[in-house]
Amino acid sequence: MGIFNKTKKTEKRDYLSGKEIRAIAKENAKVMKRLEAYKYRKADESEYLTKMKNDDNILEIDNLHTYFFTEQGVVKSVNGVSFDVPKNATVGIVGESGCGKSVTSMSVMRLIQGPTGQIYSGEIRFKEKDDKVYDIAKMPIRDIYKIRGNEIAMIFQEPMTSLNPVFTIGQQLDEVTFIHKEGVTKDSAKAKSIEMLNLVGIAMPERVYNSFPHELSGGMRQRVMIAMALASDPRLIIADEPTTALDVTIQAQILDLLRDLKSKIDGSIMLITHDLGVIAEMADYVVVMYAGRVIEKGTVSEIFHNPLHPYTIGLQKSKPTLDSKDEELFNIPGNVPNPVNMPNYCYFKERCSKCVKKCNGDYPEMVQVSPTHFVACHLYEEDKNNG
Amino acid sequence: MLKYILKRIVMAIFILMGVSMIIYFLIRLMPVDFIQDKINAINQGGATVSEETVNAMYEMYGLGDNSLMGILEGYFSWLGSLVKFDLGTSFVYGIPVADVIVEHMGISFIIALIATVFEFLIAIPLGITAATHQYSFRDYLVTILVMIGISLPSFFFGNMLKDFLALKLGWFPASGLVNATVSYSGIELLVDYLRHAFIPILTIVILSIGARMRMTRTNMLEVMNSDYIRTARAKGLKEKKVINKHAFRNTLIPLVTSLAGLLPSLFSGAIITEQVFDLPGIGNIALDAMNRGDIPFIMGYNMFLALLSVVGVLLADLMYAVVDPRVKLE
Repeated sequence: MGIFNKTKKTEKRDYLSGKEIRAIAKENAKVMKRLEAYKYRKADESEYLTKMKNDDNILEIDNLHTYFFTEQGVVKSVNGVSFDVPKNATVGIVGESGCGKSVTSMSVMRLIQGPTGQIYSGEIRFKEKDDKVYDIAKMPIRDIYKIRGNEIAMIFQEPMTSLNPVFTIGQQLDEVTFIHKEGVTKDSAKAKSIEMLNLVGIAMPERVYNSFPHELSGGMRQRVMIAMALASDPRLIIADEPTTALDVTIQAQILDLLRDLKSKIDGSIMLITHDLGVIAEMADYVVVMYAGRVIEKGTVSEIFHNPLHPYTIGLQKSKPTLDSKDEELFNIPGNVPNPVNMPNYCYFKERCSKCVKKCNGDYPEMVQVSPTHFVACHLYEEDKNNG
Repeated sequence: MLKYILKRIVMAIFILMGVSMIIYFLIRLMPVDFIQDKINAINQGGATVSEETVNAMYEMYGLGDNSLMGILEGYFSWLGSLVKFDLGTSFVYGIPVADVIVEHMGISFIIALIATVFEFLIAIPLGITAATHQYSFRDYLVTILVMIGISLPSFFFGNMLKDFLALKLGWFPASGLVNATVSYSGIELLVDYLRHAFIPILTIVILSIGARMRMTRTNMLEVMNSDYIRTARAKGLKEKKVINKHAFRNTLIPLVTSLAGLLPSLFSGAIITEQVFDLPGIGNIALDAMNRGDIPFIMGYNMFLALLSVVGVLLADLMYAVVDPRVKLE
């Protein structure tokens, strides 16, 4: 009922008039121009040097807003996301498709494609090797190469298409060493590449080194991608759904590999997935995202044993289990709200089974329920007041 | 690989047979008659030609019998001499067709070659900037300019350039290939050739850039949106290197293969442009031969182009295997 009333009141029609489109385009052009100029500016290092809130973290994302300026209006893909990645920890980010997981990770790499996609505001604090703290969101794009691919490396979800088809594995691997290390010769780059291929468990590294991507299987290619990410000795690896396109046995192998590597490289992993099983197995901390916002975050046992947000509870229920006797898998009813016109109340309200009166009010604030457990839901605000 | 090439060559022989048959039949059905034109010319000179002489001439040129059997007979006699590498003698010029082609092809080839080189040198960078700055002012400007280029007919644009650069400004000669009043030699002769060829080449380049630029832009856009470009960026490669190495190398695949397909157009001559600038190229000669019913020349010229087309297609396929490691020829 609520959904119907709402759409009738606010949207008399489901298209935009020419006048509205022009107004949007004008407004977008203004903002995009400002942000693009900011992105390509020259800046002194002092301008983006900052301090960590907690020195044990390697990455702190603070109130990040990443917007896409489309013809229909501004899509707030990441709308005030905050979470930390502690040193030597694996942080899992879960959420359904389109909730902003990938955009968050791409923002950290500054790979959001302009001019339509822009980091609008917020801070991404990253501690470098020599303990300098950079605010990645404020770095001009010309300086980002200090970090991108070097301190932070990324593994993508499509191993079949993520390698350049016209270069050999060796050429693509050597390149990483050439970019980020100094005084590299052809031989030393090759030695490093072979070492990396060995590290990710490729049986015949010499042969794979000379192969083209199309000659390898999906699992092998993902191993190569991981080797490529490791070749620069990064301190943070962002794995964006690294197992989505692989079959189950290969998935398990790749996850084992990632877990092994974390201890070997002494770094942190930011693991993005929509597979709760993967999170349970891999992560130390979990961040649950919904419609561009963090709705719950905590340690893995808190999220799995004591999920608080109705969305997280729904996610848990929709996970297939072996001992379940139900005929059908549980699913959360309804859809994510339209990203252009986000409501000003809780985004999950329309789909929530536990709504209270307060849910008609403002978007809920983050509530701390334990030192590590946070949830953004009106249901738990009273607890805070009482306690 | 060798087996593949041999197979293609055998196939090519059958294709060429078919092509030659179609061309020969079409020519014989054309409403031009070389003998009749010749007799008309003689008649205009005041002399009269007897019926018998006319018939003898038809017999001599092998055009006497216009029935299906007669045409077939003509075709096979042409084919018979072709097997002996003899393209026959041109009706109009009275010398072997091969000699006529060789004599006039050089100039057309050089003009086409220079034009093609410039076409690629200009169109590819334009296409790349248009793609990497998609929907920007630069993209629209380049696109509009090359679209104007595509839309202009060559006889109109060629004459416009001739009028402006040659007749109004007097910077370049208006037509022909050599300066008839002065005899140059060595470097000066070469410069004179180039001065004469400049406007024709400019015309061809401007008119052909558009298609090539659009092709580069489309390919580049497709490549720039692919996952491996994102990977290249994530590695920490500078944007320039991402475009010039990772993206360009992939854009090159269709471009290089299209280059092989250009082979026949390098030799065919630009018929209309050569007409406009009165160049003694093969295109000009071919049009003339068509108008006058010079059957051996038309056959020779078209078969030469057909052969080049077949070779071009084969080369394009071989090029694929060279530039794209995913392609294996079996």
